[in-house]
Amino acid sequence: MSLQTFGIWIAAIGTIACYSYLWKDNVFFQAMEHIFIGVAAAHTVTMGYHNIKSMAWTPMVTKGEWQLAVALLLGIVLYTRFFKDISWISRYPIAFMMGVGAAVTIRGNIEGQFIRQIRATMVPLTNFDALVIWVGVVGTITYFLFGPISNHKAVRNVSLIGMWTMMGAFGAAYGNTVMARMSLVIGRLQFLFGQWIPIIK
Amino acid sequence: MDQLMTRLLNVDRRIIYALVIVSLFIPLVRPLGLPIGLSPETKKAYDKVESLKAGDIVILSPDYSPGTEAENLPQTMAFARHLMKKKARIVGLSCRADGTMYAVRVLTTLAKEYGYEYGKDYVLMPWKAGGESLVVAMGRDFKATYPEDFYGKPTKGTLVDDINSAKDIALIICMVTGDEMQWYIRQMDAIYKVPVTGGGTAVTIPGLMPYVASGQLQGVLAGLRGAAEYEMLLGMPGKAVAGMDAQSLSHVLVMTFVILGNIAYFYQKRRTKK
Repeated sequence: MSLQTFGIWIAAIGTIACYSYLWKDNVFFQAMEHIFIGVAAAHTVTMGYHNIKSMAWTPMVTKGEWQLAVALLLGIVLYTRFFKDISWISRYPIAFMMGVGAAVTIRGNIEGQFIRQIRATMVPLTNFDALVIWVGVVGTITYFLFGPISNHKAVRNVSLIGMWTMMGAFGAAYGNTVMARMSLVIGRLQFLFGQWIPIIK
Repeated sequence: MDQLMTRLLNVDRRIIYALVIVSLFIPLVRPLGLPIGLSPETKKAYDKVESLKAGDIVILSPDYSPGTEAENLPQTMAFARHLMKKKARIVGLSCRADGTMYAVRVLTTLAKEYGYEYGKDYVLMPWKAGGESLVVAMGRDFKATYPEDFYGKPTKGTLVDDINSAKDIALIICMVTGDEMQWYIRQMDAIYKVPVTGGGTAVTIPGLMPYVASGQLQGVLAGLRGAAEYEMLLGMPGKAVAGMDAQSLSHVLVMTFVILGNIAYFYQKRRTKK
């Protein structure tokens, strides 16, 4: 049996063990669940180790970039959160990461998330789509800013439009979720009956 | 009638699972040949890739994990085939630790088919931690961000030499299951005006549609269906097209359940009122 065939069998057994949960919870599903978590964690640890080695350790010792020791130290200090007496120290690297992350990304955020999106809603009301966008945006913002419990009937009615707009959006999101889940099952069936037991041509 | 409606509201879920599996399995074994439409978002993504010239540098970024391989891998394959048909130069990288293997798998497999040479026509980059900060670093100085490739060799002497600034990147194609598309939109499109397109799992599409509508995203492939549409446009039907009949039949089944459930619910509600 070649390594590839062995791999296909392991994947097939794992797939069936996971789907056995649909009948009822059982030891095979639980075993596969634990194996998956273990493998995923091991993969992440391995990738993280290689990242630290290539991005920090190797440049430090081979190219003399000793300033990277600060980043390494901050990373190690993060683990102090697991020790009750010294867990306060881990707030510093977390604060550093949050501060640097926010500062580095904020420029693109303002342009991409706010300005461009606001500009996109300021469309001329020359077609039905534009009208739907305008009504939906105004209604939804009114709903969140003033709420459906406002004293003014007009504001309550506009909030109601926003509520129905959101319900339509959530319905579309649910439909997409169903499509996504079905696609994943189709992928598994194509594997099981395309590679494991070749019935699908 | 009361008994039937009560039964409908309390169907054993295992019966529903069995019916769904059957509705998915039968069309895979015996295709029905249902027509596949074309959404404007897929056409827009296709047209954007089609507008590339030979030699243009494109980043292909599979940012998904094995859990969504069924949806995202056909999208990646379709985009990669199109890029190689257009003779674009490809940089395969990922912002996810487990996404890099898909860039490696897809590009090394298709490179043999299209006669692509590593280093000259395509390169693979290693995963680096940082999330959106990584994308910021890529935009500022791509060469400094990736001094070595996936195999640990220097990127000097490869097509990376021609990426002197973000503006040298003609297009970014990103397949996502999370926020990575938004990172590229915010940090590459908004700041450096590098166009972004790609595909997402169907779950992510409602969150990406505002970006398509605003022009920040040059079209998007919606899950497996988007991949199937793209394969039809390429004239290379593959796994995605093969799964469409099963998807259509299963959706009809789910809609039937929803309608029957609502009929039973409102009937019961009326009876209770009386």
